[in-house]
Amino acid sequence: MKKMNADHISRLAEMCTGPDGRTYRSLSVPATLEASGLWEVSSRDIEILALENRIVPERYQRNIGTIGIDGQIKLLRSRTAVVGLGGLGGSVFEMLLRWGVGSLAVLDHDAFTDSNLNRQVLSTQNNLGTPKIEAAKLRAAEINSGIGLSAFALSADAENLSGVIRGCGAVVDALDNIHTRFTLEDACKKEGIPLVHGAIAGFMGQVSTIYPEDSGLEAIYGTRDVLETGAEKELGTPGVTPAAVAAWQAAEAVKILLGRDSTLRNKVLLFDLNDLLMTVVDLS
Amino acid sequence: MMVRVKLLGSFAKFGKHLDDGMMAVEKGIRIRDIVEILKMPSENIMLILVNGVSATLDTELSEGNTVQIFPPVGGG
Repeated sequence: MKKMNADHISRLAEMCTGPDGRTYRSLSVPATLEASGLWEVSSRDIEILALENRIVPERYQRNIGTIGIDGQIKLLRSRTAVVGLGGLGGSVFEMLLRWGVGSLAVLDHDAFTDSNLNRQVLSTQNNLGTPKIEAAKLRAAEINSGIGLSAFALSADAENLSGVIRGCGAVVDALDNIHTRFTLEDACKKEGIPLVHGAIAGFMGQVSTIYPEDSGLEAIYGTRDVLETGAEKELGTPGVTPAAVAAWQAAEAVKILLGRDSTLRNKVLLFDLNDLLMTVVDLS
Repeated sequence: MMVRVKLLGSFAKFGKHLDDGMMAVEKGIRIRDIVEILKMPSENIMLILVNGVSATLDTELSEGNTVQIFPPVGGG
């Protein structure tokens, strides 16, 4: 079978004018999906080929102004793990899918329940009682079918996490309890992968980026022998809070994958949507 | 001396009686003492900031300091 090359891609491209008035060669989603079927190659690989030939897949056109064509190629060649598919994880997953992180690993052992509906973007009235990873697979297929997805129906623990995160350029903490977060941090340190920590309670949220050699969660939570009772047990979790944290986490993950050093490394972002608090605290 | 104490999230209730968080306290008071005065659970504090900088229960306060005390944030 012939391999798709620059000529084939060029013939599929159309001239377009961007919001800034400049013209560029664009590859539409329908053309990509059609070529993917004809050539038996993933749409992701077609998009990488296009970008390498300075053709912009139209689905990523609004990304180019911030991360550039080379940045988009880098993302498409990256792998990220999202550990948890609830309030944080569902939204981070959606954002990374749309941003074009080429390969994603997701982990969650839960099924959706009624109380998830206020914030978990993968939950619907029709999928209550079904596993969260199944919703993730369906969502990936309808948003960005070329992304490689590994879905693990597991409860995160010290034994299974290494296998889930291995090979990833970044890991996103989308867990719902403090204890397991330390377990995830251990696995990330062991595998040498940067971790994007995030947590929520009521209107409060926090985000921090932890590289393997950093002090990490202990610098935030104060102790490993932990604080079992998070404030979220009393305050609950309205949908706006995980959405805000998820946006910061997705941005941190992408910055890590692109090798940018403007991250929350050795810092913690703390915010409170009710009290108008937004601060970045130095932890070093 | 006067300090401002801002209690976040589930800790807010311990400071409801304060006027905009303002407290009149003795010079050299430590955060630990403030936590005791306000009857807060000292063993369940995640993070303390004084003027935006990370602090501990043993940090001594000065006139005009702003203290922020955070409960553990663990949801997802």
